[in-house]
Amino acid sequence: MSNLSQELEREVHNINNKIKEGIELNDEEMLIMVLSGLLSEEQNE
Amino acid sequence: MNKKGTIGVLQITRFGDLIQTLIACKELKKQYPEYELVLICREKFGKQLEFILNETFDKIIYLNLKDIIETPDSIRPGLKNISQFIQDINSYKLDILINLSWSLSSQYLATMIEAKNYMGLKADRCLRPQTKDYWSTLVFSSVMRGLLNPFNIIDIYKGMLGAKRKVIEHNECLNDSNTIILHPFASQDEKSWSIDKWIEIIYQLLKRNPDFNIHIVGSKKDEQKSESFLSSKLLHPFQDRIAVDVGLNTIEETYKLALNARLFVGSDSMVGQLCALAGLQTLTLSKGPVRPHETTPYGSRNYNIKLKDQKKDLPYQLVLSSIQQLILNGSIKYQQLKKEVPIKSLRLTNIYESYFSEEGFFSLKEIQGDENLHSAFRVVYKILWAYYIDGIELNCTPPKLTKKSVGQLKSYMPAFEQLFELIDFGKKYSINIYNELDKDGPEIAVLKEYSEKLTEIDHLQIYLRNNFPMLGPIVDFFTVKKANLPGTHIEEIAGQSVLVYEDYSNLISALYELVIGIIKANDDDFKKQISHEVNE
Repeated sequence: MSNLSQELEREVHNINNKIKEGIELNDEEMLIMVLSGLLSEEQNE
Repeated sequence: MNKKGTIGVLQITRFGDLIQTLIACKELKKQYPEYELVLICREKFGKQLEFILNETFDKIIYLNLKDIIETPDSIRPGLKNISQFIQDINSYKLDILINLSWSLSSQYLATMIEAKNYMGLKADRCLRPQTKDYWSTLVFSSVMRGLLNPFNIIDIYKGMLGAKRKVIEHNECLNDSNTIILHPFASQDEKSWSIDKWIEIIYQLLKRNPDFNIHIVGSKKDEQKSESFLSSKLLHPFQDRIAVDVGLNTIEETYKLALNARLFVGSDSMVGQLCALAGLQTLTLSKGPVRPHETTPYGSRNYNIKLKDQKKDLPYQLVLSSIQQLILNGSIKYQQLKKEVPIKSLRLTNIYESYFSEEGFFSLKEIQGDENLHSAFRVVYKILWAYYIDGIELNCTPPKLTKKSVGQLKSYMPAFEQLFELIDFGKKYSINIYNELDKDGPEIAVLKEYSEKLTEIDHLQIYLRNNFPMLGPIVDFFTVKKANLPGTHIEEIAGQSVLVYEDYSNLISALYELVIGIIKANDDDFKKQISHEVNE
């Protein structure tokens, strides 16, 4: 697993915890979710 | 021409979705040429379709994930690049952003793109999906999770875009071309037919039609499979009439080939969509999880043979006879099939023929008249949604059902009554909440009590839907609508909730009346049949 994937996984984990607590995401966190979504969709193709 | 506004279309899924998006947008551009259309798509799919996308879109913005990620060492450059990519889109100052892709990343991306108005799915800052327009609500609630969606995806896109529908006539004259395009591969193995069967089909077709030739097309990943066609001993005498273009042709070359061909035959894939776009008649062989009503290539007199039981195989004789009829007459007739194909084989499949209704909706007719509970509900939902969403009154004939299917329809009557009662309670408690909020000092305990009742009603609806799955689309549609109530303060949202329940109740009544209409039409037919038999 690349550094990028590991870093993304960590960030997404933290973001999911924030969402569970009902905290709204900021721009950077939204961008992380966009990037993570694009990457995982690309890997599934 | 003075530009009236700019519309952004977000389509970041695959080739097939991009072609469907193009067909819908082409219609929009024809009707509203004064609007600038900006397409946002993935470079690896869009670039190869640029030759046709350019005719419709004023600008194409490509998303290239490799460029965005830049390095596998850190996410920082990726975040900077994706942010820049969004800024580039924002420089177009979009009046509307329409998200036609149904993926999580597209929802999040749509949220980050600035536009005055949005259509299609986006998310809020807690990543909850949000949808305002009715067509998107339908896709989210019904298309993505069941077999009861009556609309072709392109018609749904047209609905979201606001493009007027029009009937697309099929060229009635059989053209002079003697080329058949064959695409025997599919993205998933369960969707494709065995290569040995295809070899037999090609052998028979070339033997029976000495003037015809066949072009086998496919992508690079199909190359290995395609070697079987070249090495087949059975096909050896016909090799000069078979062109294997697998992994060689660009999409543009395949499109040009289709412009001058007679017929496309193949599995459910983007090649069929591409050929239909070029005006070619298509025959799709559907195995596995294919939904013909949604994905049959868009055009008149296209055919789709769908295997009913996935444990069985598509009957070879049926496929051969169908292709032969299309070569000779341009249509597939059930009477002719009955002469050439064992009835047992015919019963393994549904055979659909496409046409456009007088209102311009792409539709499918089962040529064996094999209608069931699903077909009956598809018809009623089509009438219902077309009227509710677009205000169009569809003129549909009631499907002819078997006695068993009519019996199944009748078993839904008590469920309609239960659902109607639940909605009535829902309406009542929503009004109570609204009235309580309207008071000078609304009591929290009272509000809590009413909202608990509404939650209970929601649970009971889900329970009812699970026991009567044909009610799924309407229950799910209004569940999504209730989750997306517009409004900036609680009183406004409560008011909207009352209106949604009002709509829900009206639609259930309409659905009930439509089902009663189908039952009555079929019961009358059965009576006529009996009296006819008695008289004879």
